[in-house]
Amino acid sequence: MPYIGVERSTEEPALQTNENEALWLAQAQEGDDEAFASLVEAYQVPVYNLCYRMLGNGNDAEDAAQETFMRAYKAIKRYDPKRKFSTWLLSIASNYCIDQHRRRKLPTFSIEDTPTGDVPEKAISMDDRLALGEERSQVQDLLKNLSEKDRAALIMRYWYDYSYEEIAESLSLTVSAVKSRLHRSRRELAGEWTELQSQTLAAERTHHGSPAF
Amino acid sequence: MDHPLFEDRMHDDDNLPEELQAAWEQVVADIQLAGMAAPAPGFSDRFRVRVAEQRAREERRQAWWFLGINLFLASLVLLVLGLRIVPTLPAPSALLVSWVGTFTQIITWFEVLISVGGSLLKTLPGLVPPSWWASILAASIGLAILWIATLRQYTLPQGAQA
Repeated sequence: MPYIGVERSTEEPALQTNENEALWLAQAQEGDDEAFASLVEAYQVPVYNLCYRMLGNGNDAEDAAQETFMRAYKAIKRYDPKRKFSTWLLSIASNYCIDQHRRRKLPTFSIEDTPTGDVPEKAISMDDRLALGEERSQVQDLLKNLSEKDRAALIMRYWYDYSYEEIAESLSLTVSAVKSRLHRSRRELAGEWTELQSQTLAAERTHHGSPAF
Repeated sequence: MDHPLFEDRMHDDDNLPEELQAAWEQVVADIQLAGMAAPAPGFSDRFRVRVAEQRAREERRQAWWFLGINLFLASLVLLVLGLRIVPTLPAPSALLVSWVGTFTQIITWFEVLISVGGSLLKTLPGLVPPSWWASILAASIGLAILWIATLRQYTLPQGAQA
Protein backbone atom coordinates (compact mmCIF):
# COMPACT_ATOMS: atom_id res chain seq x y z
CA MET A 1 0.00 0.00 0.00
CA PRO A 2 1.60 3.29 -1.02
CA TYR A 3 2.05 6.02 1.57
CA ILE A 4 3.00 9.05 -0.42
CA GLY A 5 3.69 12.04 1.72
CA VAL A 6 6.07 14.75 0.62
CA GLU A 7 4.01 17.59 1.95
CA ARG A 8 6.15 20.59 2.46
CA SER A 9 6.37 22.36 5.76
CA THR A 10 8.92 25.07 5.17
CA GLU A 11 7.62 27.23 7.97
CA GLU A 12 8.59 24.77 10.68
CA PRO A 13 12.09 24.69 12.10
CA ALA A 14 14.07 21.63 11.06
CA LEU A 15 14.50 20.22 14.54
CA GLN A 16 12.46 21.54 17.39
CA THR A 17 13.01 20.02 20.81
CA ASN A 18 9.75 19.42 22.61
CA GLU A 19 9.66 20.44 26.26
CA ASN A 20 8.19 17.04 27.16
CA GLU A 21 10.89 15.13 25.34
CA ALA A 22 12.90 14.20 28.44
CA LEU A 23 9.76 12.93 30.15
CA TRP A 24 8.66 10.91 27.10
CA LEU A 25 12.13 9.44 26.81
CA ALA A 26 12.19 8.40 30.46
CA GLN A 27 8.72 6.86 30.15
CA ALA A 28 9.57 5.13 26.87
CA GLN A 29 12.66 3.64 28.50
CA GLU A 30 10.35 2.23 31.17
CA GLY A 31 8.33 0.52 28.43
CA ASP A 32 5.56 3.09 27.94
CA ASP A 33 4.39 2.68 24.33
CA GLU A 34 2.30 5.85 24.37
CA ALA A 35 5.34 7.92 25.37
CA PHE A 36 7.25 6.42 22.46
CA ALA A 37 4.32 7.20 20.16
CA SER A 38 4.62 10.85 21.26
CA LEU A 39 8.29 10.78 20.24
CA VAL A 40 7.28 9.33 16.87
CA GLU A 41 4.73 12.11 16.46
CA ALA A 42 7.34 14.73 17.35
CA TYR A 43 10.12 13.43 15.09
CA GLN A 44 8.25 11.95 12.14
CA VAL A 45 8.90 14.92 9.86
CA PRO A 46 12.68 15.26 10.43
CA VAL A 47 13.19 11.50 10.13
CA TYR A 48 10.97 11.21 7.05
CA ASN A 49 12.63 14.21 5.42
CA LEU A 50 16.09 12.72 5.93
CA CYS A 51 14.95 9.39 4.47
CA TYR A 52 13.23 11.13 1.57
CA ARG A 53 16.29 13.20 0.74
CA MET A 54 18.48 10.12 1.03
CA LEU A 55 16.30 7.72 -0.98
CA GLY A 56 14.40 10.15 -3.21
CA ASN A 57 11.18 8.16 -3.15
CA GLY A 58 8.09 8.59 -0.98
CA ASN A 59 7.38 4.91 -0.40
CA ASP A 60 10.99 4.02 0.34
CA ALA A 61 11.20 7.01 2.64
CA GLU A 62 8.06 5.87 4.50
CA ASP A 63 9.50 2.38 4.95
CA ALA A 64 12.86 3.71 6.03
CA ALA A 65 11.32 6.16 8.49
CA GLN A 66 9.11 3.42 9.97
CA GLU A 67 12.10 1.10 10.25
CA THR A 68 14.14 3.85 11.89
CA PHE A 69 11.52 4.27 14.60
CA MET A 70 11.23 0.51 14.98
CA ARG A 71 14.98 0.23 15.54
CA ALA A 72 14.87 3.13 17.98
CA TYR A 73 11.93 1.46 19.77
CA LYS A 74 13.89 -1.77 20.18
CA ALA A 75 17.02 0.04 21.33
CA ILE A 76 15.38 2.72 23.47
CA LYS A 77 16.46 1.05 26.72
CA ARG A 78 20.08 1.33 25.62
CA TYR A 79 19.71 5.01 24.66
CA ASP A 80 22.02 7.26 26.67
CA PRO A 81 20.05 10.36 27.77
CA LYS A 82 23.26 12.39 27.79
CA ARG A 83 23.21 12.15 24.00
CA LYS A 84 20.89 14.40 21.99
CA PHE A 85 17.88 12.31 21.00
CA SER A 86 17.50 13.85 17.56
CA THR A 87 21.16 13.13 16.76
CA TRP A 88 20.73 9.53 17.88
CA LEU A 89 17.54 9.11 15.86
CA LEU A 90 18.88 10.72 12.69
CA SER A 91 22.02 8.66 13.04
CA ILE A 92 19.88 5.50 12.95
CA ALA A 93 17.95 6.86 9.96
CA SER A 94 21.03 7.85 7.96
CA ASN A 95 22.81 4.57 8.61
CA TYR A 96 19.71 2.64 7.57
CA CYS A 97 19.37 4.65 4.36
CA ILE A 98 23.07 4.21 3.57
CA ASP A 99 22.67 0.44 4.04
CA GLN A 100 19.56 0.42 1.85
CA HIS A 101 21.41 2.25 -0.90
CA ARG A 102 24.31 -0.15 -0.77
CA ARG A 103 21.99 -3.15 -0.80
CA ARG A 104 19.72 -2.05 -3.59
CA LYS A 105 22.18 -0.03 -5.62
CA LEU A 106 19.29 2.03 -6.90
CA PRO A 107 19.88 2.65 -10.60
CA THR A 108 17.73 5.75 -10.77
CA PHE A 109 16.58 8.36 -8.36
CA SER A 110 12.86 8.13 -8.93
CA ILE A 111 10.60 11.05 -8.20
CA GLU A 112 7.53 9.28 -9.50
CA ASP A 113 5.60 9.90 -6.33
CA THR A 114 5.59 13.64 -6.77
CA PRO A 115 2.38 14.90 -8.38
CA THR A 116 4.13 15.58 -11.70
CA GLY A 117 6.35 12.54 -11.62
CA ASP A 118 4.93 10.95 -14.77
CA VAL A 119 6.31 13.69 -16.94
CA PRO A 120 9.89 12.99 -18.08
CA GLU A 121 12.21 15.38 -16.33
CA LYS A 122 13.99 16.65 -19.44
CA ALA A 123 10.72 17.47 -21.18
CA ILE A 124 9.92 20.17 -18.65
CA SER A 125 11.22 23.63 -19.31
CA MET A 126 12.63 25.79 -16.55
CA ASP A 127 9.60 28.09 -16.75
CA ASP A 128 7.27 25.11 -16.42
CA ARG A 129 9.31 23.86 -13.50
CA LEU A 130 9.05 27.12 -11.72
CA ALA A 131 5.34 27.23 -12.44
CA LEU A 132 4.92 23.73 -11.04
CA GLY A 133 7.00 24.50 -7.99
CA GLU A 134 9.40 21.71 -8.84
CA GLU A 135 12.55 23.18 -7.39
CA ARG A 136 12.59 20.33 -4.94
CA SER A 137 12.96 17.88 -7.84
CA GLN A 138 16.04 19.74 -8.91
CA VAL A 139 17.45 19.36 -5.43
CA GLN A 140 16.75 15.64 -5.56
CA ASP A 141 18.35 15.45 -9.00
CA LEU A 142 21.43 17.14 -7.67
CA LEU A 143 21.66 14.92 -4.61
CA LYS A 144 21.41 11.67 -6.54
CA ASN A 145 25.00 11.75 -7.78
CA LEU A 146 26.57 12.16 -4.36
CA SER A 147 27.84 9.13 -2.48
CA GLU A 148 25.60 7.93 0.37
CA LYS A 149 27.73 9.38 3.17
CA ASP A 150 28.35 12.66 1.34
CA ARG A 151 24.62 12.98 0.79
CA ALA A 152 23.84 12.23 4.44
CA ALA A 153 26.44 14.76 5.60
CA LEU A 154 25.09 17.42 3.25
CA ILE A 155 21.47 16.84 4.30
CA MET A 156 22.39 17.04 7.97
CA ARG A 157 24.32 20.24 7.39
CA TYR A 158 21.91 22.12 5.16
CA TRP A 159 18.51 20.79 6.21
CA TYR A 160 19.15 20.34 9.93
CA ASP A 161 21.91 22.89 10.58
CA TYR A 162 24.03 20.25 12.23
CA SER A 163 27.53 21.17 13.34
CA TYR A 164 30.51 19.32 11.92
CA GLU A 165 30.84 17.53 15.26
CA GLU A 166 27.23 16.36 15.22
CA ILE A 167 27.56 15.08 11.66
CA ALA A 168 30.79 13.32 12.57
CA GLU A 169 29.07 11.67 15.55
CA SER A 170 26.05 10.62 13.51
CA LEU A 171 28.00 9.15 10.62
CA SER A 172 30.94 7.76 12.61
CA LEU A 173 33.40 10.00 10.80
CA THR A 174 36.09 12.38 11.97
CA VAL A 175 35.39 16.12 11.89
CA SER A 176 38.03 16.64 9.22
CA ALA A 177 36.48 13.87 7.11
CA VAL A 178 33.11 15.62 7.40
CA LYS A 179 34.63 18.94 6.32
CA SER A 180 36.34 17.30 3.41
CA ARG A 181 33.19 15.44 2.34
CA LEU A 182 31.10 18.62 2.56
CA HIS A 183 33.63 20.60 0.58
CA ARG A 184 33.68 17.92 -2.12
CA SER A 185 29.86 17.78 -2.16
CA ARG A 186 29.57 21.55 -2.51
CA ARG A 187 31.94 21.55 -5.47
CA GLU A 188 30.09 18.66 -7.05
CA LEU A 189 26.63 20.17 -6.54
CA ALA A 190 27.69 23.58 -7.79
CA GLY A 191 29.23 21.95 -10.88
CA GLU A 192 26.12 19.90 -11.51
CA TRP A 193 23.94 22.94 -11.05
CA THR A 194 25.91 24.81 -13.70
CA GLU A 195 25.66 21.83 -16.04
CA LEU A 196 21.92 21.47 -15.41
CA GLN A 197 21.37 25.13 -16.20
CA SER A 198 23.24 24.88 -19.49
CA GLN A 199 21.30 21.71 -20.41
CA THR A 200 18.01 23.41 -19.62
CA LEU A 201 19.03 26.42 -21.66
CA ALA A 202 19.98 24.18 -24.59
CA ALA A 203 16.63 22.37 -24.31
CA GLU A 204 14.85 25.73 -24.30
CA ARG A 205 16.62 26.73 -27.51
CA THR A 206 15.76 23.42 -29.18
CA HIS A 207 12.17 23.71 -28.01
CA HIS A 208 11.82 27.14 -29.58
CA GLY A 209 13.54 25.98 -32.77
CA SER A 210 16.12 28.73 -32.82
CA PRO A 211 19.71 28.30 -31.73
CA ALA A 212 19.94 32.06 -31.29
CA PHE A 213 16.99 32.23 -28.95
CA MET B 1 14.02 27.43 8.04
CA ASP B 2 16.13 30.23 9.46
CA HIS B 3 17.17 32.48 6.60
CA PRO B 4 20.04 34.38 8.25
CA LEU B 5 21.47 31.07 9.42
CA PHE B 6 21.40 29.74 5.88
CA GLU B 7 23.14 32.86 4.64
CA ASP B 8 25.79 32.38 7.27
CA ARG B 9 26.26 28.82 6.13
CA MET B 10 26.47 29.97 2.55
CA HIS B 11 29.19 32.51 3.30
CA ASP B 12 30.87 30.16 5.69
CA ASP B 13 31.35 27.83 2.77
CA ASP B 14 32.73 30.40 0.39
CA ASN B 15 36.01 28.70 -0.30
CA LEU B 16 34.84 27.65 -3.77
CA PRO B 17 36.06 29.18 -7.05
CA GLU B 18 34.09 32.22 -8.10
CA GLU B 19 32.13 30.55 -10.91
CA LEU B 20 31.09 27.70 -8.61
CA GLN B 21 30.31 29.98 -5.69
CA ALA B 22 27.45 31.62 -7.59
CA ALA B 23 26.06 28.22 -8.53
CA TRP B 24 26.43 27.03 -4.94
CA GLU B 25 24.42 29.99 -3.71
CA GLN B 26 21.67 28.91 -6.09
CA VAL B 27 21.84 25.38 -4.73
CA VAL B 28 21.51 26.65 -1.15
CA ALA B 29 18.52 28.74 -2.22
CA ASP B 30 17.05 25.63 -3.83
CA ILE B 31 17.55 23.60 -0.65
CA GLN B 32 15.87 26.35 1.31
CA LEU B 33 12.96 26.33 -1.10
CA ALA B 34 12.61 22.55 -0.98
CA GLY B 35 12.01 22.67 2.78
CA MET B 36 11.05 19.65 4.85
CA ALA B 37 9.25 16.70 3.31
CA ALA B 38 6.53 15.32 5.59
CA PRO B 39 5.01 11.83 5.62
CA ALA B 40 1.40 11.16 4.69
CA PRO B 41 -1.05 11.68 7.59
CA GLY B 42 -1.36 8.80 10.07
CA PHE B 43 2.35 8.00 10.24
CA SER B 44 2.32 7.27 13.99
CA ASP B 45 -0.81 5.11 13.63
CA ARG B 46 0.97 3.07 10.98
CA PHE B 47 3.90 2.79 13.35
CA ARG B 48 1.61 1.44 16.09
CA VAL B 49 0.29 -1.19 13.68
CA ARG B 50 3.85 -2.10 12.74
CA VAL B 51 4.82 -2.51 16.39
CA ALA B 52 1.77 -4.73 17.02
CA GLU B 53 2.63 -6.90 13.99
CA GLN B 54 6.25 -7.14 15.08
CA ARG B 55 5.19 -8.18 18.59
CA ALA B 56 2.79 -10.81 17.25
CA ARG B 57 5.58 -12.22 15.05
CA GLU B 58 7.92 -12.31 18.04
CA GLU B 59 5.34 -14.15 20.16
CA ARG B 60 4.69 -16.66 17.39
CA ARG B 61 8.42 -17.23 17.08
CA GLN B 62 8.73 -17.79 20.86
CA ALA B 63 5.77 -20.18 20.81
CA TRP B 64 7.38 -22.19 17.99
CA TRP B 65 10.65 -22.36 19.90
CA PHE B 66 8.80 -23.50 23.04
CA LEU B 67 6.94 -26.18 21.07
CA GLY B 68 10.12 -27.27 19.30
CA ILE B 69 12.07 -27.67 22.54
CA ASN B 70 9.22 -29.64 24.11
CA LEU B 71 8.92 -31.89 21.09
CA PHE B 72 12.66 -32.45 21.13
CA LEU B 73 12.64 -33.41 24.82
CA ALA B 74 9.61 -35.66 24.35
CA SER B 75 11.35 -37.37 21.42
CA LEU B 76 14.45 -37.84 23.54
CA VAL B 77 12.42 -39.47 26.34
CA LEU B 78 10.63 -41.71 23.83
CA LEU B 79 13.97 -42.67 22.30
CA VAL B 80 15.43 -43.65 25.70
CA LEU B 81 12.31 -45.59 26.58
CA GLY B 82 12.31 -47.22 23.17
CA LEU B 83 15.91 -48.28 23.56
CA ARG B 84 15.01 -49.96 26.83
CA ILE B 85 11.85 -51.60 25.53
CA VAL B 86 13.02 -52.85 22.12
CA PRO B 87 15.43 -55.52 23.48
CA THR B 88 12.59 -57.03 25.54
CA LEU B 89 10.12 -57.20 22.66
CA PRO B 90 11.06 -60.76 21.59
CA ALA B 91 10.07 -61.90 25.12
CA PRO B 92 6.84 -60.11 26.11
CA SER B 93 6.23 -62.39 29.09
CA ALA B 94 9.55 -61.33 30.62
CA LEU B 95 8.59 -57.70 30.04
CA LEU B 96 5.21 -58.28 31.70
CA VAL B 97 6.84 -59.96 34.70
CA SER B 98 9.31 -57.09 34.93
CA TRP B 99 6.48 -54.50 34.85
CA VAL B 100 4.50 -56.35 37.50
CA GLY B 101 7.64 -56.56 39.66
CA THR B 102 8.30 -52.83 39.22
CA PHE B 103 4.67 -52.00 39.98
CA THR B 104 4.73 -54.12 43.13
CA GLN B 105 7.95 -52.45 44.20
CA ILE B 106 6.47 -48.96 43.68
CA ILE B 107 3.40 -49.92 45.71
CA THR B 108 5.62 -51.24 48.49
CA TRP B 109 7.72 -48.03 48.50
CA PHE B 110 4.57 -45.99 48.57
CA GLU B 111 3.26 -47.93 51.59
CA VAL B 112 6.57 -47.52 53.38
CA LEU B 113 6.55 -43.81 52.58
CA ILE B 114 3.03 -43.42 53.97
CA SER B 115 3.90 -45.24 57.14
CA VAL B 116 7.17 -43.27 57.66
CA GLY B 117 5.38 -40.04 56.80
CA GLY B 118 2.61 -40.82 59.25
CA SER B 119 5.10 -41.48 62.04
CA LEU B 120 6.96 -38.26 61.23
CA LEU B 121 3.75 -36.25 61.20
CA LYS B 122 2.94 -37.58 64.64
CA THR B 123 6.34 -36.75 66.11
CA LEU B 124 7.59 -33.73 64.12
CA PRO B 125 5.07 -31.07 65.24
CA GLY B 126 6.36 -31.50 68.77
CA LEU B 127 10.03 -31.41 67.77
CA VAL B 128 10.08 -28.57 65.17
CA PRO B 129 9.36 -25.02 66.47
CA PRO B 130 6.31 -23.25 64.88
CA SER B 131 8.58 -20.47 63.45
CA TRP B 132 10.33 -23.12 61.32
CA TRP B 133 7.01 -24.29 59.93
CA ALA B 134 6.11 -20.71 59.09
CA SER B 135 9.45 -20.23 57.30
CA ILE B 136 9.03 -23.45 55.32
CA LEU B 137 5.47 -22.44 54.35
CA ALA B 138 6.59 -18.94 53.30
CA ALA B 139 9.46 -20.35 51.25
CA SER B 140 7.12 -22.80 49.52
CA ILE B 141 4.66 -20.02 48.67
CA GLY B 142 7.50 -17.86 47.38
CA LEU B 143 8.81 -20.63 45.14
CA ALA B 144 5.30 -21.33 43.84
CA ILE B 145 4.79 -17.63 42.96
CA LEU B 146 8.18 -17.51 41.25
CA TRP B 147 7.30 -20.60 39.26
CA ILE B 148 3.91 -19.21 38.17
CA ALA B 149 5.46 -15.82 37.28
CA THR B 150 8.13 -17.53 35.18
CA LEU B 151 5.51 -19.56 33.36
CA ARG B 152 3.46 -16.43 32.69
CA GLN B 153 6.51 -14.56 31.43
CA TYR B 154 7.34 -17.19 28.85
CA THR B 155 3.92 -18.36 27.79
CA LEU B 156 1.49 -15.44 27.92
CA PRO B 157 1.44 -12.33 25.63
CA GLN B 158 3.84 -9.64 26.76
CA GLY B 159 1.31 -6.84 27.32
CA ALA B 160 2.72 -3.32 27.09
CA GLN B 161 6.34 -4.23 27.59
CA ALA B 162 8.89 -3.12 24.99
